Amino acid sequence: MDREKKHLTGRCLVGWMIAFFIAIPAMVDGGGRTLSQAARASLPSHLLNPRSVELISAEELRQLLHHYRGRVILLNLWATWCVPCLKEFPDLSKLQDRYRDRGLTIIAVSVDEPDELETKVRPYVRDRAPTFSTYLRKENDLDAFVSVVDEGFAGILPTTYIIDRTGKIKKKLVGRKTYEELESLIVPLLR
Amino acid sequence: MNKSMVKFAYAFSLALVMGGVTLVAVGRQPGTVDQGGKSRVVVLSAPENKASTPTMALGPDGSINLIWVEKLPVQAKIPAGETHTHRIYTNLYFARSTDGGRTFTKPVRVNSVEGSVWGFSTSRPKIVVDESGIIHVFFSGNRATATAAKDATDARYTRSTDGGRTFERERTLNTILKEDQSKIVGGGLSEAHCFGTMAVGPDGSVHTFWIDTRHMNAPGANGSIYGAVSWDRGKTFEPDRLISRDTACPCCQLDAAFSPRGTLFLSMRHVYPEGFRNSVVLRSDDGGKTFSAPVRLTSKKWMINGCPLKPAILATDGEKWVYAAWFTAAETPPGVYFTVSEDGGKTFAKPRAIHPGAKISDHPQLAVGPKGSVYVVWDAKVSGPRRAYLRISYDHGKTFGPIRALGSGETASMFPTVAVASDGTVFVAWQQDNKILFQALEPLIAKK
Repeated sequence: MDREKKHLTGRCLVGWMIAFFIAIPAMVDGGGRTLSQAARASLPSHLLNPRSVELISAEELRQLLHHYRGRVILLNLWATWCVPCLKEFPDLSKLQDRYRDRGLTIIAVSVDEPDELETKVRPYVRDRAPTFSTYLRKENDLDAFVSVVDEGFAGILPTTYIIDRTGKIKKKLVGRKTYEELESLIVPLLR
Repeated sequence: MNKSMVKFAYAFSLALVMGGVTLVAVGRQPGTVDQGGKSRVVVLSAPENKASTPTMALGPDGSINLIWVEKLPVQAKIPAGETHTHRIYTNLYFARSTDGGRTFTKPVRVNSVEGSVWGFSTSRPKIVVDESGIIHVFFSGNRATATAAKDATDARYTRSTDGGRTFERERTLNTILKEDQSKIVGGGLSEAHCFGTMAVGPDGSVHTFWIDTRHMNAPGANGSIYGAVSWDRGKTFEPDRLISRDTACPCCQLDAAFSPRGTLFLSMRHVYPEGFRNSVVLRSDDGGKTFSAPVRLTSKKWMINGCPLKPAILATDGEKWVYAAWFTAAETPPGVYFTVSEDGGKTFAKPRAIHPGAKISDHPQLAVGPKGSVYVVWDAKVSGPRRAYLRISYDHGKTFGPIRALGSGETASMFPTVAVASDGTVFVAWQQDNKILFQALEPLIAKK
C-alpha cells in the first residue's frame, strides 16, 4: 500500500512537473511577462508584440491592459501633429529601456484618424523608432475608444495614465511631463 | 406566385422605397432624416465620405450658408500632375438655403484642387457673408514642399461673388518659407500656417489671422500670429505681417469678431512665461494695425505643456458686449465656460460653466440674436455617446435657460455650429455618423 501510494505520489509529482514545464511557456511571453490566459486566447499576436504601429480597438485595448496586469503600465495618448507628444517620445523610450526589467510596460496609442495608419502614423513612428509598443485607435468615435480608461478624456494631448500592478489608474497626467516627473511617479509603483 | 407572395413583395418594395426616401441622402443631393424633432433634419454631406467640421453664416438676405469638410476614402486617387500633398485627401464643401433651411443647393466644392484641404474638426474653416453678399471662406490647405518628401499647411482664402455657385481659385496668404522646420513642427510637416480665422469689418475689409511656425526654431519657442488684410472685399490682399511673435499655443485655433462700428477682437491661447496657457482677447481700435495687451478670460491659470486644441469663440453685440465661450481646465470642473465683457473687451465677468454635471463638455460656438439674446452650442458627454446641445441667454449672457439636446442621442453628435435669424429662428448643424446634419428650430425668442 505504502509502495503503491509512493508510486502514485511520484507519478503525480512527475505529472505536475510536466504540466508545470508545459505551462510555463504558455504563461510567460518573450519578455518574461506573466500572461492572462483569457487575454492570450483572444488577443491577436501582432498586438502583443507589435513590430510597427498596429490598429487597436477599444476592446482590444481593454484586453491588452488586462494582459499586462501585474506590471506597471504607462498608457500614453498622442498624435502625430502634437509637438509636445513628439518631444515626449525620447523620454518614454528611455523610461521603457531603464525599467522594463523591473516591470514597466509603456503603451502609446495614437488618436490620429484610424485611416491614417499608413499615410501618417507608421511613417512618423518609423522615423522615431521608439522602444515601446505603439498603436493607432481603430474606432472613429474617440470618446468610445478612450472610455476604456477614461470617461472624461477631453482630447488634450499628450494625456498619460499611470496604472499600477493591480490595474488601477493611479495618476492621469495632462500635457507633456519630463522624464524626472514620470520616473518619480513610476518608481514607487515598481517596488 | 400566390396572392400572399405578391402582397409581401409589394409591401417589401414599398418599405424599401419609403425607407430610401426617408432615411438616405442619395449622392450629392441633400437628404433628410427623421430625428424626432419638430423640424426635419437635412443631411448635407455625401454618404461615401467622412464629413466633419460644419461652420455656418447667415447672409444679409437671410440665406443660410454652410461649409464643411469631407475626407475622401484613403484609396481615392488624386489627379496626376497635382502638386499638393498626397497624405490627406480632404475637400471643403459649400451649400446654401434661401428658404429657411427647407432645401439646400447641391453642395459645391470650394477648393479648386481635389483633396487639398488640411481640415479637421479642431481647425474649422471660417465662412463670413458680408453686407454686399460676398461669401468669404478661409481655410488651411495642403502643399508639398520643394523637397516633395515634406508637407506644409498654408493659410488660404477664397470668395464667391455669385451666391456660392462658384468660388474663385484659392489664394495662399502666407509667405512660403525656404527652411525645413519638420523637426519642430511634427506630423511630417515642414512648416505650418494654420489654425486660423477670419473676420470681415463693416467697411468690407477682410482680416485673416493664423498661427505660424516661422519663429519656432529656438528651443521652447511658441507659435506666432500672422495676418493678412484685404481692403477691397477680398479682391486683393496685402502681404502677410506679424501680429504677435512667440506667444501663441501652436494648436489652439484663433477666432476673431468685429463690433458694428469696426472694433476688432482676436482670441488666442497665450503662452505665459510662467508656463500657463490661457485664452485671451486682444482688441484693435485701428482696423487691425495695432492690438491691445492680451486680456485673460479667467484669472485662474491653466498650467499645461500640451496641445489642448481649444479655441475661445468670440461674438459681439453692439459696441459694449463681447462674448466668449471656450473650454478650460483652469476652472473646476474642466469644460465649456462662458463669459461676457460689458466694456468692449477691457474686462470679463467671472466665467460660468455652460453644462454643469457633464462628464466632459467641449467645442462651443456662439451666435448673437435679437434683443440681447446669446446662443451657445457645444457637445458634451452626459450618459451614452457625446451629444450636441444648445443653451440660450436673453439678457446678454447674465443668465442662461435650460440645456436643450440637439438631434438624436443614438450616436455621437459633435462640433455643432449655430446661427440665428432676425425673427429668432435658430439654425444648427453638427456632425454625426460621419455626416453633416442641419436643422432649423422654431423661433426661440423669449416672450415678454
